[in-house]
Amino acid sequence: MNQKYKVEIIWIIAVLAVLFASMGINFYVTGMKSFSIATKETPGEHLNGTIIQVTGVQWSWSFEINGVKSVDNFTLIVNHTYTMVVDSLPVGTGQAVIHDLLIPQFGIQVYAVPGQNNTITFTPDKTGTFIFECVEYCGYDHYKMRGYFSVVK
Amino acid sequence: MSTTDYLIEVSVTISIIFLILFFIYYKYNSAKSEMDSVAEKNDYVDTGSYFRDKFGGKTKEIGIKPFLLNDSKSIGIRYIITSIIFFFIAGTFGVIMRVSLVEPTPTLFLNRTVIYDVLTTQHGILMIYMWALGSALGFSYYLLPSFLKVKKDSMGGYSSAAYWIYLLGAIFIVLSRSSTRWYFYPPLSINLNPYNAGSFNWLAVLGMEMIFVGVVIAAIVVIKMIIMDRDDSIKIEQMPIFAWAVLFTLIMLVASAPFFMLGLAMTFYDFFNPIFFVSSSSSPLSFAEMFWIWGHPIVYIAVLPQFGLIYEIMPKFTGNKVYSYASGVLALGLLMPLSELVWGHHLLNSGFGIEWGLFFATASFVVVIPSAITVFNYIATLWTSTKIRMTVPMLFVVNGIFDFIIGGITGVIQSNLALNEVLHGTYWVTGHFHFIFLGITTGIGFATIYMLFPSLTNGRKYNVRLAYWHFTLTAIGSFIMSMGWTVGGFYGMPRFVAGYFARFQAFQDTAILGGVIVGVAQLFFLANIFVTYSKKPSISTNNALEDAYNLPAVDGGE
Amino acid sequence: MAERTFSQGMIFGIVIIVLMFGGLYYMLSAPTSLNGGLLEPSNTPYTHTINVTLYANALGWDYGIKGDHTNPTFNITAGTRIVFTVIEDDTAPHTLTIADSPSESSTHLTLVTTSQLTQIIGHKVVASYVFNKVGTWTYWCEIHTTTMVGKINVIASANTSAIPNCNSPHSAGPHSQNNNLDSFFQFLLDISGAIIA
Repeated sequence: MNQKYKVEIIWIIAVLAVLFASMGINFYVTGMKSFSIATKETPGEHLNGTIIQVTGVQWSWSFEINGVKSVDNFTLIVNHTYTMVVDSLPVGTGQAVIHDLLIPQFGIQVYAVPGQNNTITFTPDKTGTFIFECVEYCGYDHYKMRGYFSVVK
Repeated sequence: MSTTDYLIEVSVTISIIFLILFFIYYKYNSAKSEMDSVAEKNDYVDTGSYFRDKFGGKTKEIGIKPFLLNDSKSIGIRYIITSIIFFFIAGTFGVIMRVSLVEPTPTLFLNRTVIYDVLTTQHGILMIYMWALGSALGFSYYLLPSFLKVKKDSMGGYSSAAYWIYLLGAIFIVLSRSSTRWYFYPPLSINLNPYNAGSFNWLAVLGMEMIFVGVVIAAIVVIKMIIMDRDDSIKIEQMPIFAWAVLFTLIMLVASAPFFMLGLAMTFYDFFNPIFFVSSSSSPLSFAEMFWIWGHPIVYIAVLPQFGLIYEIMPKFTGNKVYSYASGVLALGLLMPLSELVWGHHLLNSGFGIEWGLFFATASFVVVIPSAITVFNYIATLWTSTKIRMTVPMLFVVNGIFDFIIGGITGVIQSNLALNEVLHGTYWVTGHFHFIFLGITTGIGFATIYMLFPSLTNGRKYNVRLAYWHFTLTAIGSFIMSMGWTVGGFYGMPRFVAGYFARFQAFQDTAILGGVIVGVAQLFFLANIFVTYSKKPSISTNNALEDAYNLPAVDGGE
Repeated sequence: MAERTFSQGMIFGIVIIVLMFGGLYYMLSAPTSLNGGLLEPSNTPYTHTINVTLYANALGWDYGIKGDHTNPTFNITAGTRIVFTVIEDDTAPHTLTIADSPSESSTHLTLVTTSQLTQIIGHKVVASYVFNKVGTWTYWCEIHTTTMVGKINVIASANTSAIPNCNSPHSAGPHSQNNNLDSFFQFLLDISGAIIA
């Protein structure tokens, strides 16, 4: 085996080691309890936690928690589990478009797809005021689909 | 005037026009058959190439002549000219929309934020399809006949037609002033009003379809050129790596384009009768998936030919051979199937569920292996070299490798499922692909243009000082801009917005600084064209990239 | 030979610059709600003022009564200033846009924009316009062009009555056609304008 092959194989093995490590981390993290990923709700599936009905329209988010509806802001209680059910509704007679709700500080992101309820479960573990925003281009005032929500004791 | 009189006048006028047209066609046809017999006497299959060789001669330089001839070099120059022009148009859009973000609330486009959306859409579509894809096709048409010593210049008529369809498609897209992103997803793109997709988005869909038709025809012609028209002296296992890169790229293009072409056609139908991608009959996500099956390979199509070009440029300045030919080709070949398997990572949070998420995340990790082999090959080639000449093209190459490492690592990080939920849709993604597109696509594109400069300008040499400034400012500006985005995106700064939370202003303003520097840098290239052309040409029109190969003996044959 | 290629290279550079600025000009002149080509006569004198309250609902404009969605027709005399009070009635974004043609036209003026009329139910926006030109005007919402569209008839006589006639709801067919044709011609004009520019 000449020098060139040796170097190349060492390099590939090093790359593979790094990749396997990150792959392992990926599988480990996604297996953890606290991890949640947006899933398509199937009927009859058990939703744990208080349900937040999130509706994206052009161009605002509305949140309905325990029957109380609010537009572009909401309040959560710390260390309480919530399940977001996210949908997109049309405006007037138009067609509903896709939105994407991102809460960067809690690492939550879920698409609002018309005709499909995506769910995500999370537990806010710190109090304060946080931001949420739409990160899927949805028309004229896309940048205005954002706001603050607060987590209280 | 009564309606009957009017109808009679119109029909008489039309009849006269058609008579004149028929007469012209008759004259043209009889002249053509005469020319055909002359060409046949001189052992030419194709009349056009006979007259080209007899009267015009071959062309290698920028000008109006390439638009009238249809040999491979001319077609290549057409694509290069078009891609440079569209690079400047789309670049202007990019700089202006960046400048408009200087304040958290829209300032430049206050109450007219749709202009921001229009500019972003045009910037994205034109940069990808006209600059990245156009320059790649241009370099393929221009370089491959020399690299492969092509026996006969084939299918020029098809290439020429494909080019015009492609150009017309791009013009349609510009005219449409669509504001639907390059994504074109239907619930948005079929709402034809200024608040959604723009009133003339149907024209953009039509233009997009035409670009695809043009590109796929051109791709098939180039694939045929590589596989069938090679000279017998060049074995397929000894082809230049650039030829391999183009071959893999174009196979990937032909294999994945139909999904999006079909999706666009169904979208066009949806304008009149929305049945395909509306939530009552199907999910809008089905279009998203059709798009990303094409949308992920296209970003590899924008870098793979440039990877091949790096392999060609590097030995000219390092003086040694590429470290490992086999692993270079293997890596590029691996990228071809792998890039078709990772499209789902663009939709990870759309409700796939964890199983598909893990599949696409893992597949995205696997893409690192060929990329790492490629980067290793570059670094090893530089490492084993005794003396590196740091001319402008070589500087672009080194900077491209550097940017690709950063862009690649930021790319792998975001395919981690947990991090993806934070980074998806933020400026992190924009930073990631601008690192690669500015470093590899644009950088290597300009490196190649500088390498080909003597041929393209009929024997003139570029001004080294201006070229050096062009490189320096592009490298610094693109680094500042992409870094500002990458860091800001990590804190959740959303993409594609005309206004933003005030907390992100520092990152945005950093990016504006970088963006303006990149914009100014391209003006140095423009100035270089004027400075170069104000000088007298030297005698030799050969360029460094093709000097190892005998210039092609291309003649006859359609 | 050298002279000819010399000019061709220069032309290439000039073409790039021209197309850069031409393209930018074309994109910046994209039609938006505020930039429609119809200017508001700010200091024109007016004979009298009419107050109109409109409820903006995606199903149709309501005059006075919430929930009837009638898209009322207004008959006024030339020189009348209408003060529109637009009230958000659902959570959808709306605009109040007018044009001096019998159907929606791309030459228009948006009196109330989506950002002024927030999507909060009950939000009120006041805007006024002096109607000097005799003829049929159209007012509509740019987002709900087929449902929220009505007419304003401006007549020259001294008849000062301004009774909104509740006509039958607006039919979508012919209007949307006219709109398409109108905007298409406007589009052709835009293109030729951009080419000349």
